[in-house]
Amino acid sequence: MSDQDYNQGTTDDNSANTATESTPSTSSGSQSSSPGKKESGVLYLGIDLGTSRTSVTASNGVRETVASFVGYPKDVVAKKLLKADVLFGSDAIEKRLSLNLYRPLGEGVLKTSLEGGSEDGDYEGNVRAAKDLIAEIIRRAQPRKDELVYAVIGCPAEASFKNREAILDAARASVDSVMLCSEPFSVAYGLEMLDDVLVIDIGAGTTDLCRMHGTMPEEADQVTMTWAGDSIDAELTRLLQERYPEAQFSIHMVKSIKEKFGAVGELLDAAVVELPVNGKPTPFDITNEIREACQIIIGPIVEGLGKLVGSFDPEFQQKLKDRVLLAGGGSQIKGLDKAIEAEMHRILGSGHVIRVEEPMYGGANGALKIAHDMPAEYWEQLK
Amino acid sequence: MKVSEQMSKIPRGDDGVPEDEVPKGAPEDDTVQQHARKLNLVGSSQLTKAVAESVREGLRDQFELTQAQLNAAVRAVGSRLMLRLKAQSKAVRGVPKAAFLKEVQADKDRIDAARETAKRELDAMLEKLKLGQEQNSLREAELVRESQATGQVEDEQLAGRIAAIFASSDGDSAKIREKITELALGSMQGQREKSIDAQMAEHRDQVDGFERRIAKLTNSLELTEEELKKMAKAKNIDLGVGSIYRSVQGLSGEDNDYETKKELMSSIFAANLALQKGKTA
Ligand SMILES: Nc1ncnc2c1ncn2[C@@H]1O[C@H](COP(=O)(O)OP(=O)(O)O)[C@@H](O)[C@H]1O
Ligand SMILES: [Mg+2]
Repeated sequence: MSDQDYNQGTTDDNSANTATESTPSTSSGSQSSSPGKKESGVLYLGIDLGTSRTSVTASNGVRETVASFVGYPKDVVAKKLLKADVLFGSDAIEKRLSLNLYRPLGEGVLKTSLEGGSEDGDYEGNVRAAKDLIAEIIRRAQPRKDELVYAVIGCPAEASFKNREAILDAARASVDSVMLCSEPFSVAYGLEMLDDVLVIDIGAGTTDLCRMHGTMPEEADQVTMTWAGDSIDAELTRLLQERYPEAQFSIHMVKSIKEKFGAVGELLDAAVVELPVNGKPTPFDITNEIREACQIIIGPIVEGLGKLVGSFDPEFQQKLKDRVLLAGGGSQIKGLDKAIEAEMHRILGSGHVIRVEEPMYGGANGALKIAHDMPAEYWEQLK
Repeated sequence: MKVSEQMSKIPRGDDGVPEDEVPKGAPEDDTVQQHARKLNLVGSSQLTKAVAESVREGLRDQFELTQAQLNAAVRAVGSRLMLRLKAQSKAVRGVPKAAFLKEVQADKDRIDAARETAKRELDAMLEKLKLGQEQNSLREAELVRESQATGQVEDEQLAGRIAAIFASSDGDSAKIREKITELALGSMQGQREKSIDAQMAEHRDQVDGFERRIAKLTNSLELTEEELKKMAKAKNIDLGVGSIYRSVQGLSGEDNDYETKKELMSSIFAANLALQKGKTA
């Protein structure tokens, strides 16, 4: 499957360049010759750096997603066997038994030794994994060697200062200029919703709520909670263990089941899954368990929305409630928009929820748009 | 232009189900294999339908199942089939993917190297050409100066000799003398120019040679570029894809929310500048 689009004009431009400029040298060293002129040969990237998934949308038309897992062979034997120094995404998950596996953005932020996020508190390891992950997603965007790379990275709204520094550090190793912005902001910006909108971004580790009103969101405009995809998986696991103690399953299986059948409210299809019982695949109807598990995030989300609405200028509260944007992988739970809307009516008196069209690429698309709209001189200054 | 309009690619969904959930070791039935050989004659929607139908029928014949269970089974088979096909599609052209990629990488490296060499040679050539051209014009000026200096002496000698010849005869043929002198001088200058031309031609040939070589190299550069593109397309490899934004970067003044966006951009920039400063401080 050849899915690369070659831009004829672009390449021609380029061979013309090589004939006139004798030394293209390193890309990062080149300067825009005349200050008023717009820079050419720049690849813009929008990156959504997530707990479970990192995506890129690039100004060359490439889009890529990789699960946010990085694995290093445990020993020389494993390294020889795997024929690689580092594995990413589903490759890393698949070979996890022979790897030291990192999920560098667990809980939505780089784990620090202080936060004690990773099992072994390996902060250095997580930083290295983040660096490798960012390098990998940029590689997958297929930059030309002779183009500058400018990236906007959307990171979780509540990433701490230390975390942002670490992310910035990690990115600077592979791009010519980089800016961070808050993930919910980039989602909204991508959809041209610049003011008076509430964004709900349901990820794996965290759900980020963000109030937008024209300028950059501040601390007070954001609420982050750990009620998110992973907590639904945990709840579904608990329910299944409680009600079908004989069934055997792993957390990965539960996650797949949720992604396939995840729904709240009135269900159209019964969710019947086959789970092994003493090794024999046995069908279980887990419709109710799925509904119950998926529901657990609704209450906390609406409560968080209430906080953001309640602390806003009363004159504009209504407007805010009328434009709630539902994004992130978790927004794909069927019926979730309507269910949140119903809960908003119950708790806050009104509400209107819009689901983003592309939950997997919304953040990256928005970040790319920011990268594009950013004046060239800003990029220059951050080089 | 909207970003979404430019991004027409289908996400490749790398984040899906781990590979170890691909069912393994299903029985390889001869009839299945025979049928599989004919499968490439069938459209994918036909195939999907046929699989779904036959699974449904097979299950209905063998078991007593509810409609929901039947549907679930059909769905399960469908997704497993997809996973299996996806897993198998990792092997390209009968070669394991890793080996294939290595082969492709070698090709790419070779072409890259050829391109590098051609480029380097071209650069050297251009340098030489420039030098040659400079030297030529210097040499030409020098030759002209030389010939003018030596010419002046020669001219005087010749004129003197002619004058002596005519002085020995009578003074009444002054007009003829003038004419002959002019004529002789003219022919002398002509000869000198010829000799300069001859010397210059040698240099010009050299330059022409350079120019032809450069044209050739440029051509071969374009060829390797072409070859690279073709190969990359055929083998679907990472050669880098050029940016679409060449000269359109920056917020358009015609944007409806120009002012708001401009303000947003500068506050993002300010925050990042502070972040970067804080780090270096
Ligand atoms: N079709 C789906 N239905 C329900 N949940 C889904 C679906 N697809 C992905 N998810 C869940 O979305 C979460 C990941 O969302 P994502 O936006 O990728 O997260 P992050 O930003 O944290 O990387 C995971 O918990 C995943 O299980
Ligand atoms: Mg996200």
